[in-house]
Amino acid sequence: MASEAGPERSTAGLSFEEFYVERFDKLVRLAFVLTGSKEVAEDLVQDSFVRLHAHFARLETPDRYARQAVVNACRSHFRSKGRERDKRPLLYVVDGSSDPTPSGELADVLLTLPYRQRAAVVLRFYADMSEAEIAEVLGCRPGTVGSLIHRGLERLRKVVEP
Amino acid sequence: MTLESDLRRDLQARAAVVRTAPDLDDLAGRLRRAAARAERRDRRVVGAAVTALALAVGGLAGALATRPTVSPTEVQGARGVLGQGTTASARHPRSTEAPRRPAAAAPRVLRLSAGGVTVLLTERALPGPVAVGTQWSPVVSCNTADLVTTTAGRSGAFAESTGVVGLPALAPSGLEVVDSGDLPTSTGAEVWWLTVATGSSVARVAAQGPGGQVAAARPSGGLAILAGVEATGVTGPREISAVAEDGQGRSLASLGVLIGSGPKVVGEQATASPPASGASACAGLRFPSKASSAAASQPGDLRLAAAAVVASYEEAFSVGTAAAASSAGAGLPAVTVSEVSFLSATRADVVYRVPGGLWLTGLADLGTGGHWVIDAASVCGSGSPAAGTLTCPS
Repeated sequence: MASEAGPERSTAGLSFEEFYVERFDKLVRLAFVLTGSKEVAEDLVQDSFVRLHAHFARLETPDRYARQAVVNACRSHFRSKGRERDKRPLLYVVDGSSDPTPSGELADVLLTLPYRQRAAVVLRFYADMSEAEIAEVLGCRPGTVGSLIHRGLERLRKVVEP
Repeated sequence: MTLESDLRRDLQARAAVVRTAPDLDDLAGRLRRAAARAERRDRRVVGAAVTALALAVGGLAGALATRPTVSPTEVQGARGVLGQGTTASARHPRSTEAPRRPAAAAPRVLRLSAGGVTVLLTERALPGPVAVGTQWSPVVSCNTADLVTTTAGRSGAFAESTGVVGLPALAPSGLEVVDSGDLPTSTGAEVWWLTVATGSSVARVAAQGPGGQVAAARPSGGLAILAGVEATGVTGPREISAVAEDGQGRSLASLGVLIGSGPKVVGEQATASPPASGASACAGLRFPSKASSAAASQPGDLRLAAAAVVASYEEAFSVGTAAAASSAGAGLPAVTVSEVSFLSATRADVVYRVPGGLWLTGLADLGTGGHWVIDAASVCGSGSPAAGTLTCPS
């Protein structure tokens, strides 16, 4: 599989610490394009490594597990964020620093997509994963991945090509 | 340029600006906190498992404790076990300790099977205060109580009786009648049973039937059932004596009962109110529905049989109540039959009200010729409030 940061180095034989140092930056960048926030991305990736630590010794492909953990952590983050948003009063003063506003750049517009569409698009066009691999990460069928990507691109197209 | 290639380029450019470095110290801290959380979770799981195990073991122990504890040899044992401690008029000490048992939401069933006799006892909480008396005496108090229904069977015959438990709490050494009854069988032998409530110090209850048969049982949940089979041709008082013993076999309390007697629910208050004494406190009583006696055989035409039972009571009392009726006011019915429950195809339990507002219970039997007649012994027996008030029907 091609990587978002070039050819992926083998992690075979790496200790957990070595694997962490080797992959941390790459996973933070993946989380960043999914969440739009560097701080949130670092926090989510650290938590993902905590979960990975418990299983690392018996994982044959820790890369796949780590990527899936990060994608799931981002999804959980937006779920809890959605719950927090639901608790907000209907009327509140907008201070200009709340939710990100699309700037017109594709990466920004991407953040307005529903999470599953966004994740499918990011994994496909940033991580260069196949639909089968994406399906495994998202826990759905490959056909569903194709549909998610298609609908995500359609929505992006409507924004950038009105 | 296509959207896809633009997207690919934008994403790579956006990600490229992120510069970050692994933070092993932060990761180590998170790992330590996660381990502590897991340990606490494991402790909770183990604690929950231990609690569940304890509850399961407790439930099993409770189930075992409710099993009959009378052995056939005890039911049909030798005479004379009761000894000198037996008295027929023992009073039972009471205390102000908490009720023996909170009002049970679900009925409790105790079963005794020994010597060919099966006794089933169902205890269920009554929804509100009830007036409690005896078959022979006026209303004595209003209390929150449990209704106890006992069904006894042997060789295809069976009978049922009801009693009350849950009156003011017993002292640790207390012994109190809940219910008693008997069952004639086709062979001429007679099965008798006695249910008693016991205090917390009572480890064993022994009872002696009319023919000298002795039964013994260990109390379960404050109740003990005793039963025996009386040989054919036994004469003498129809009474059972019982003695409560502690763990060392010392006599704590004793009592004697006429078979068929015991506290009865004689009325139920329409609205809950604090316990009070005296018949006036139970004004406005209504009778609770009786526990199911579906197991008993019933007359072929229930409505016709019930009407005949009611007629037998009204007719039998019509002469006896004339004086009372005339003094209480014209038009006062002699007796008002409130409820007729058939214990068998030939025997009915009757709840009726006499002038003055007193609720009583009696029996009626299907006599020769197909006529229902009152059981005079159940109405005019020793201690009946009818004595002195009513002229008992002949």
